[in-house]
Amino acid sequence: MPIPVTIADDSALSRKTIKRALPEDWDITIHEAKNGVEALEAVHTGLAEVLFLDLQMPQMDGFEVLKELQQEHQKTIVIVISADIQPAAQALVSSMGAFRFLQKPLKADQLRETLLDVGLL
Amino acid sequence: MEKSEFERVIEQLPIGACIINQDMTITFANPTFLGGLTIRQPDLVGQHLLSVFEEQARFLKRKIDSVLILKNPSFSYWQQRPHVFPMRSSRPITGDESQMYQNVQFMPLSNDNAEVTHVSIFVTDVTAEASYFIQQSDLKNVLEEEHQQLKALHQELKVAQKQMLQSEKMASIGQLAAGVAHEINNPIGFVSSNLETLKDYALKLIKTTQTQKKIIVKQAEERFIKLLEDVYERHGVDFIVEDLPELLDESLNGAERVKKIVNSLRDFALNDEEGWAEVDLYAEIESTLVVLKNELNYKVQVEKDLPQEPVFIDGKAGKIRQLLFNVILNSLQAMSSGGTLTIDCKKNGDKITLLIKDTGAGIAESDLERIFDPFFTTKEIGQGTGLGLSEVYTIIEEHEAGIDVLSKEGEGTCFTFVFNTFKAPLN
Amino acid sequence: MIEINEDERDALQEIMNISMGQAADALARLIQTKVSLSIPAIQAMSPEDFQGMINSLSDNWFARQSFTGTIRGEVIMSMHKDGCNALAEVMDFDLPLDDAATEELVLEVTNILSAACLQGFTSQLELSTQLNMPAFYYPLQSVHSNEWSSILIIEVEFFIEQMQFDARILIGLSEGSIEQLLIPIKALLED
Repeated sequence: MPIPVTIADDSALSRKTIKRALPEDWDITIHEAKNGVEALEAVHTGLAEVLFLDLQMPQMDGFEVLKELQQEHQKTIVIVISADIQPAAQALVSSMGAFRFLQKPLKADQLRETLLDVGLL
Repeated sequence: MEKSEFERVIEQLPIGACIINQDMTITFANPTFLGGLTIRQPDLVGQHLLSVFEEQARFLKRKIDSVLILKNPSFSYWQQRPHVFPMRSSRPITGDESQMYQNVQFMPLSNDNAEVTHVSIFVTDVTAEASYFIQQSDLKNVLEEEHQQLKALHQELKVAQKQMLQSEKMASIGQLAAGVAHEINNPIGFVSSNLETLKDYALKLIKTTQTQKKIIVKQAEERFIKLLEDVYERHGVDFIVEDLPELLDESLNGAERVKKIVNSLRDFALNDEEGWAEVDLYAEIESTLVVLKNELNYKVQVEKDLPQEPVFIDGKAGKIRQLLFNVILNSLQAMSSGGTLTIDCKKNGDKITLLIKDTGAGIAESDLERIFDPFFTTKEIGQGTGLGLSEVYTIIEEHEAGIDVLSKEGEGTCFTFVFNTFKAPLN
Repeated sequence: MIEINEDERDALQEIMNISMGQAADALARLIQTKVSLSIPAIQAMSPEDFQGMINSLSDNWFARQSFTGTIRGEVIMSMHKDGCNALAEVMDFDLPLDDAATEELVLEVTNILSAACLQGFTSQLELSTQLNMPAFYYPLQSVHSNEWSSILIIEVEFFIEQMQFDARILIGLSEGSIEQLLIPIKALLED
């Protein structure tokens, strides 16, 4: 069974970059969300066992998505991929239940390492 | 190129180069860097940068920390920090500066793993440029100052010229007036006194003829009386008897007025090099109104509200006269189609408040702040010099008096002056 | 006017967003304080627009730093005067700031922000540029050249809430550079 993965980012380039960086040998189905609302919908419809989440998004940002997921006790594995790379943001999202934090621009080897680390590969 | 060649280039580079590691220990310094220093240092390698350059330690640490953390170059300029390293000027003999002005660059040196392991420091001697720049900016300041002085001087000259123009004008009017006054004074004197005598003679002659007529009527024959009455009738003697004194009175009045005008003119023309004295304000107002009689046409009413007792200002009579003349003339000209001129005077302690108010055209709000500027006029070219009110202002300043103007277009203008009361000198 | 399509604008905005994030991080690490930033605004500007924007930033200090290479342009940093003292304190400057120290502070901040952000976007786009030394800039005294008719301005605002710090980075790209910039962006958007 392929794992349902959702990429939530308002930038088309960013979604493309993440898709490109995903390991080819990883058996997944990819869904895309352009904002936090769409990301939550994906979780609710079972399209996001793994969620790559941007922080800065219109209509519900990444922090709000994390908060909502925490309240709903969702088991989604959230990997934040953000341009805000300051330590404050990293600390905040991990306190809000994000599994990992990756910096933009996303590098393929870092992503692979992270996926291995959390046991997805 | 071989490594030794690189080294030789670095050694001969006219730029001070120094390399430190992450602990800020100096690992290299080229001869330009070493030789430029004014502190005695046989060799810098192995020493701690911050302890060698203690005075700038805080600054150097900040700069180097930022390069190490951010992995980007950092800069320092002579304008903000002229002498980071104690180095001597490259022109010890002919230069104006003894210390070297420096631009300093701090560049990160990374290893293969993109980690910054060293920081290289380049010191560029910009003493020549700095010295030139400083000279230019000093020069600029001097020029700026001179320019300001010239501007101030120019302004003073302008004011002086304006005052000269005005006083010259006033002086020539004064001379003319004095001359005319002098010439008229003599004839009007005897005209007046002769008229006085003439009136006396005429009254006596009338009395005599009337007595004669009464005697003749009583005693003469009817035909002589008839004859006399004929002569009276023909010559209109009864009318002459009635009219003659009136004519003489009018003439006397006229002569008196001429005398007054002449006196006012003479007063007006008095040299203003007079000293400070008690100036009788009412007398000055009166004589100004006399001089301006021509302008005071029948359409303008004058209302005066002056206290009973005379008011004396501490001032120069000629100047006060000129002030009143200029202000009242302006008011009258503003009321060319008629109106009321109000002159009000009040005494408050040792201050005298004088109000000169007209119901004329008024002054536009935008013009109000410029009316005291020399040459500012709203009159047509040739109608006014624009000096009248500026002269007023000068006089007010000289008298340490106050002035205030209220005006509304279409309603009129009110000048308020506050003068100092004359005080008799103690002793 | 310069024309870029929606996809290109989105891509450029994302790349700038990442670069500015790196710039903010650089400053944050140096002063150990969280730095907030706005979403990059990208707009084509006429000389009049540009002048108007600069003029609207009263009470700001300005510095500029040019870059040369595959793409050329200038980074202009404006920084509100009110925030200087607080920032100077955390950056270990002596207070009160005199004129020279103020200039030094502004140049330092300019260098930090523009170096990090230029480094950010040139590395993402694999362009090569060199950043020159920053210099103080007094916009009212300088009449900018009218040699260009339209430039692309990328504007980001940085602020630190607890210290009234408010700065703006304007990256101005010269006319010919925009085409150069679009080449790698188009490549990134392909397939």
